[in-house]
Amino acid sequence: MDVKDIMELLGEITIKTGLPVPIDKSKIFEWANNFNINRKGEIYLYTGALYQLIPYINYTVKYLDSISKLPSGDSLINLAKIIIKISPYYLSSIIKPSIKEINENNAIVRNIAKLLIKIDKNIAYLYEDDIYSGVLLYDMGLDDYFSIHSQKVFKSFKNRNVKKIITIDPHTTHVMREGYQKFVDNYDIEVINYLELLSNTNIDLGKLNKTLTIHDPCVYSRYENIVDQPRKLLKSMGIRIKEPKRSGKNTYCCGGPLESLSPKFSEDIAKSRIDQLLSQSDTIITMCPICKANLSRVKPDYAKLIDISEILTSNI
Amino acid sequence: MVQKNIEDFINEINGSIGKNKIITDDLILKLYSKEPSGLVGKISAVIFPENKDDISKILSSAYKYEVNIYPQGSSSSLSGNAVPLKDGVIVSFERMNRIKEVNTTDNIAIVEPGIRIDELNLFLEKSNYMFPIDPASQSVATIGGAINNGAGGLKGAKYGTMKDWVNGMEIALPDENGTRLFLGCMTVKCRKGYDLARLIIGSEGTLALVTEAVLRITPIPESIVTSLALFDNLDDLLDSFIEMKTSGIQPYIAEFMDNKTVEIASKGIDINFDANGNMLLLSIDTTKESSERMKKYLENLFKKHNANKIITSLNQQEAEELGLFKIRRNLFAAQVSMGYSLYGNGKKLQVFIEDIVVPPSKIKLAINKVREVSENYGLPVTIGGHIGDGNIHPSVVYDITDENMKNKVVSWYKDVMKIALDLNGSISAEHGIGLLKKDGLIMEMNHYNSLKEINIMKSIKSLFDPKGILNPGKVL
Amino acid sequence: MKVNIKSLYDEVNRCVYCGFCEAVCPTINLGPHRGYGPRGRVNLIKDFIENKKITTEFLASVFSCLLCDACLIVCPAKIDTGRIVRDVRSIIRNEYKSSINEKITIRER
Repeated sequence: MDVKDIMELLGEITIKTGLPVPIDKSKIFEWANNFNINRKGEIYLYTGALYQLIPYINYTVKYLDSISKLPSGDSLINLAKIIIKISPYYLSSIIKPSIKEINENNAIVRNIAKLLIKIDKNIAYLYEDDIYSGVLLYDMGLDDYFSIHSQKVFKSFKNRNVKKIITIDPHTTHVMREGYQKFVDNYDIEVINYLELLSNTNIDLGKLNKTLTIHDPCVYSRYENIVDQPRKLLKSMGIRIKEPKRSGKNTYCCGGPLESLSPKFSEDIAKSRIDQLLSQSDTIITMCPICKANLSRVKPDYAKLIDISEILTSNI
Repeated sequence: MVQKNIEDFINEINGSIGKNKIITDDLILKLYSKEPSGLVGKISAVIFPENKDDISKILSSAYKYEVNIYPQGSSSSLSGNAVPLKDGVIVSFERMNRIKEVNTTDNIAIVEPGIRIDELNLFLEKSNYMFPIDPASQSVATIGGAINNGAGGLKGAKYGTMKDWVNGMEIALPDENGTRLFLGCMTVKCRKGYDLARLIIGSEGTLALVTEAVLRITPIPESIVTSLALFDNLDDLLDSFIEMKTSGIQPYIAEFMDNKTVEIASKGIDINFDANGNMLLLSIDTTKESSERMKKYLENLFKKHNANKIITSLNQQEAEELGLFKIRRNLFAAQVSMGYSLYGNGKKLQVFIEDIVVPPSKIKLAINKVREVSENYGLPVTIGGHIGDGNIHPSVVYDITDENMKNKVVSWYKDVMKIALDLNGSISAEHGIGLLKKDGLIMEMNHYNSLKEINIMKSIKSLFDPKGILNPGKVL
Repeated sequence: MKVNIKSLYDEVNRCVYCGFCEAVCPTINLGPHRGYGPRGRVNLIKDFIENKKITTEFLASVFSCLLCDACLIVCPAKIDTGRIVRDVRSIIRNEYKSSINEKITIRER
């Protein structure tokens, strides 16, 4: 599929709906149903919606890719572009990712929230203001769209008097620090990542007798210098960590960032990475929704991918 | 404007090997015409053969239309070896990077030329074997490039260079059919008349294209003891090395750097010791049982020769933890950043790495003389090298837009080669002649009263490549 | 925010063409040419800033990057290719959007 089309669709949908895929906004905070977390506080959990959105994004990308391969692909994609300009939600009925995947990712967010509440029960959640960060726009250089979107997000933070946010994935963490700083005037939101936050406490996570292989996300290790923090937390539980040949600062990408632009590249890179990881042990810890989704597409049945939050909450 | 013969050539191979193996995008052509030496050429296409037949077809058509062919591995050579001088096409081996066979009983690996040395070693490691030739660029250098450049590396004292580690190879000739020949043997022992395989090694792509290589491999040593020692006095460092050699120990790695170079290379890296003085980095392969004894031996030796600091590890993991190789690995990066601190950001810099070799017993003289000459020129020169085999790499970083400095560097370059020759050495140990050392080669032949060698080489070149289309303008 | 082309150029201009970055790049072995690796990207961008010319293969080079920055760690000149590529995508969109007529496609080898 033409990279230009993908970018255009992504930009338009984000501006029109606030999300990179045209879905109902309540999907983003449905994980908090029946979960006791404050609406108001000094520090806010800001998920940036990435964990929650990944199943929808991947489904949409696959769908568009299959359309574009039809004999009349080009005109169908053009039609989609027109529909999105008029009424983006018209497309929402066709985006139906697996419920299992959605539930899994919601559970990850819930686990992270549990950890945060455990260290400070005053941490609050943004609910309907927990909007998408726009990181995909930023990464693709769609600065015109990103500029509009980021200012919108900042304004909603200001309306709610948000000063400090806790982020939960590498991409959102990075864009909220670097991207927003560049594009939003008077940007003054303090951004802390939950792994940084937890590793600075003496949180007792109990013990777990396991050997696990760690996969560092590129953005944590090389952009945000988050390498030791997850290791410190895992070691505090007595977990034996296996390091693949390429780990920490030298980690190897999961291939995820190219999922929408070149599914074939993305898959080949994921295959190389999963082989490197599985040479250490059968269970792999991920720390990013993109890594988890992309590696799980190529993993053999016996292998297990677990988000670090699930490990950290195994005794809670 | 693409010349008519090149256009016809491209059309013909478009049909014979397939369109998707040829690139003519302007910007990509420029990309392939560069080299770390700073030289830039110009070409009409880059061709990516995927198998031996492709290569024969390319050569056969190139012969027919008299099109210049510039073979390339990873373009990491340092003497202008792979840069396209005249118009023609580049044949890049990056898609021929398969490992075809590894046999630990026969101690061989059969590989395609485009595989990177590090990639091969990653694969061999699983069987506890290695290919021991390790130029500093091993992470990108390809086997084909290393063969054609006669590459060496850190382990040169113990394992020699490429010419000692290639049993045989298949080549394709630039003739009517792109004829393929198998030179050398599958085995180490081989007496097949004249040794043409060794003639190809170091020929810099001027005689034939290598399509496959039978490499010798060797087990990874069971244990490696490494010691980093720093000496205030260079003579002490060299004396300790001589004493070790005299007592019958052949080092696995023996790297040295002079004090000024150590100062530059230890900046900005994370090591928990002070590095002052001239550095000797010595590894010795041994068994687990004898590693303690070897460690003590090295420590006593260096102490006796007044080392101001000695840090020793019993195995490679410990060496990594102690950061013993960090200074050595940082050398190239340090040279680059030294350039920016000297000339300012935004300048176009060139790191120029000399490559002379002298008998190891003369290394002390060579280093002192190079230091003296460099100071006379007022150039920022670092000196490091492979002490075990006498190969030293005085390097200079300079601003290529500064004509005055450029002239100084060219003149310095000649003086350094002269120092090597005066000490019974040679002008190139492992980087090759390429473009930059053609004068040096003549200088050396003259020095040894051996000019006729050039004529013999020219005759050999025309036997292999009668139309002179392979990497023209290089070596001779 | 506008990308500072001068500082971008100074950074890509630092490349000494050693190729160490190619050893760690996940995309270089998948694409049809060196433009699918960091050394290629950096030098194509340098050329692009100098000559203001874009080609299909240049676009593929810029859009096939993962922004993973594995290359930054091994680069002797400490060139941050990931951040540079992001900024160049933005320049292409802002200044060359209308002149791109062909599809941008990431090609397999």
